[in-house]
Amino acid sequence: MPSSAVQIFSDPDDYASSIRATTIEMMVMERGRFTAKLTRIDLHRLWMQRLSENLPRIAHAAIRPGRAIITFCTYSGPSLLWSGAELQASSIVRHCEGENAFQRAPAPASWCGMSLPVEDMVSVGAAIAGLDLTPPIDPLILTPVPSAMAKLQRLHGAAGQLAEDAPEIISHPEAARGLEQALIEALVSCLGEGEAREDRSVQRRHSLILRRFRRAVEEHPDQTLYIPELCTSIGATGRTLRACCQEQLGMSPKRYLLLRRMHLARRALRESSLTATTVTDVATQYGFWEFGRFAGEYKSLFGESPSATLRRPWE
Amino acid sequence: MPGSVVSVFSEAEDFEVALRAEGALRLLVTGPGRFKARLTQVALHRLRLAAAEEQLPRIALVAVPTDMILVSLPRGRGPAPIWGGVRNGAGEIMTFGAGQRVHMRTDAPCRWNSVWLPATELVQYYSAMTGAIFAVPTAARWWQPGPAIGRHLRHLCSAAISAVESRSKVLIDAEAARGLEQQLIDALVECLSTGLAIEAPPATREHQHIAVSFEALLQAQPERALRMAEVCAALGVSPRILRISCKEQLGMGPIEYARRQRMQLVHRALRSGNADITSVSAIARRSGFRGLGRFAANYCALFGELPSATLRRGSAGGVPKLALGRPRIRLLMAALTWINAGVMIATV
Repeated sequence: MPSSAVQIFSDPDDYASSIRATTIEMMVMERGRFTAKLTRIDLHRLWMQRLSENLPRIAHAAIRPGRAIITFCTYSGPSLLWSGAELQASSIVRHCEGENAFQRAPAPASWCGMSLPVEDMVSVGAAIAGLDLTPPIDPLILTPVPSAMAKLQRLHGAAGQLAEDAPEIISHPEAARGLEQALIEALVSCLGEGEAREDRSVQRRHSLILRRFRRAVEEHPDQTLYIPELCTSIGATGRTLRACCQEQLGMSPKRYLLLRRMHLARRALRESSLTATTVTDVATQYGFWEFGRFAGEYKSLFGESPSATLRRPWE
Repeated sequence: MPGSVVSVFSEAEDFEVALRAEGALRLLVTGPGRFKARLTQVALHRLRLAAAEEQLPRIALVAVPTDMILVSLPRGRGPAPIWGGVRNGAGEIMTFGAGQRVHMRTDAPCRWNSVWLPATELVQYYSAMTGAIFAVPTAARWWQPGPAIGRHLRHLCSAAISAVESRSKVLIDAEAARGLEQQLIDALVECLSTGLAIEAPPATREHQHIAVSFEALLQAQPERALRMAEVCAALGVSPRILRISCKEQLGMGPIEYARRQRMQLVHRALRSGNADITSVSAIARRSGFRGLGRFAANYCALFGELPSATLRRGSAGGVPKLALGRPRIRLLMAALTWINAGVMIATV
C-alpha cells in the first residue's frame, strides 16, 4: 500500500532513528535549535526519502543490506560530504550493501535517497537498459548526463511536493504506480549513462585505517572511545589517524571522540531519572572530569545546561 | 579494581606507612611544628594517581619498582618537591623508572601529584600512538611539555583528585575509571613525545647515588652514631664530596642528617614506649645520644615537646595509643567490586 509522511524533528536522535534503511549515529556540531524535515514516500517497490537539516552535523551511517540505495543532494553547494568526498547536485552515490561511512554536512543540507529491493533493481536495470545494476562492491559516485539528472531531480521534487500538498494522490495505487514507473525510468537512465567519478577520497578511504576506525565506532555504539585504545586496536599512530580523520570528518579524531562523548552523555542524561542519577555521575562515566568545563561546553553545544537536560521530563 | 582513599594524618609515622604505596621507604621530617598531611590515592585499572598536601618539610627515599614508571607533576602554585636535588619546576613533569632510588624532599608546605603506571603499559601505548619507541629512563629525567598539553595533564589530574575527594564513589563505575585512565595515558604520551627532555647532569646523578648509598649505610646500623671518616671510607668518597652530595640531595650535611635520623628513631621509640618500664635516658643512650641535657633541648626544638612528654603521651593507656597509631581517616572509601558475585562491598 503506497503511503507518504512528512515529519518535522527538533531532536537529532529522533530524526536519525527515523531515517530508513540506514542506522545513523548523528551529532550536531553547532549550537542552535535543530530542525529537520523528513519526507517519506513509499510507492509499491520504490522507497524515497527527502531530508533537510538546518545545522552542521556529522553522522556515521551503516546501511542495512537488502536494498539497492542511491542518494544525491537536492541543491548545489558543498552541503554534503560522503566519506570526505563532496556531493554535488549533479552527482549520485550508488551505495554498496552493508556499507558504513561518515557523512558530514558542514552547513545546512538537503538531500534525498531512493531505494529498491536488490532483485528489483537488477531486473529493472536489465529490462529497461540492459544494465547490471547489482549494488557495487564499493560505493560509487557518478555524474549522470545533465538532462537525465535534471529529470530525476524534478520528478523526485515533484513527488516530495505531492506528499506535502496532496498525499491522497500518492496513496492511490494507480497514481503511485505511474509515479513509480516514471521515477524508476529516470533513475535507470541516470545510472546507465554518464561517467563514474573515481573519487580519490573514496579510494583512499578504503585504507585499512579508516575501515578499522569506522568499525570501532560501529562496534561500540553506546560506548566511549579514547585515542590510546583506538591507536592500539587500529594499529595506527595518532598522527596517521589525525590525517585520515581530518580528511573524512573535517576534524581531529580527538575532537570527534569528544563530540561523540558529549552526545552520548546527553543521551544518558535524557534517559535517566532525576532521582537515580546526578550530572556528575554521567559526566565521569563519559570521561568528563572537569565539571565546570563540561557544563560550559555542554551548554555551548546544546544550548542548555546538563542539569536542565536531566530535569526535563523525557518526551 | 578502581577505588580511592582520602586520608588525613597528624603523625609522620602514619604518613610514612601510607606513603609506602607511593614508593617511599623512609620519611624524615625536617622542620619543627605540628605534622599535618593529606593524601589522596586513586587506583584505576592499571594506573595509580596520588595527590598530597603536606605542612612540614621532610625527606623521603623513594624506590621505584623495576616494572613501574613514576611521573611527578607539580600541583598548584606553592613550592614543588625536590627530586634528587632538582626541583620539579612549574609546568615540568619528572619521570623515574627502572628500579631507581632517589631522595624526594620538600622545604616548605608542599603539594604534589604523582602518577604510577606499569612500564610495559607506557611503552606499548607510546609506540601505538607515536610509532616510536619509548626508552624507559634509567635516570631521573624532567620534561618540558608544550604549555597547552602540560596544562591539560595537570588539570585532568587535579580534576580527578577533587572529584574523588568530594564524591568518593565516582570511581566505582568501571567506565569512569577507564575514561580517566585513557585520557591520562593520552595526555602523558603526548607530553613525553612532544616535550623537551632533560637529564640531570652527571655530577648530580653521582650525588644522587652517593646520598642513596649513604642512606643505606645509615639504615644498616640505625642506632649507631657513625663517624664521618668511617662513612667516607665505606662509600669511597672524600668528605667534601659527601658533604656536597648531602647538601644537594638532603638539604643538610651528612652529620646533621644522621643525627636527625637517630632523633626520629628516639621519638618513635618514646611514642611507643611505656613510661613505667622504660626511661628517656635509656632510649636516648641506645640511639647513641650522650649528654642528656643537650639532647632534650635539641629534641624539643625538633618535635616541640620534651622527650618525657612524648613518652608520657605514648604510654597514656592502650586505647588512645592505638588511635594515634592509625591515620585519622576523614573519608576512606576503597570500593571493591566482585563482578562475578555481583556484590559490591565498600570497605572502610
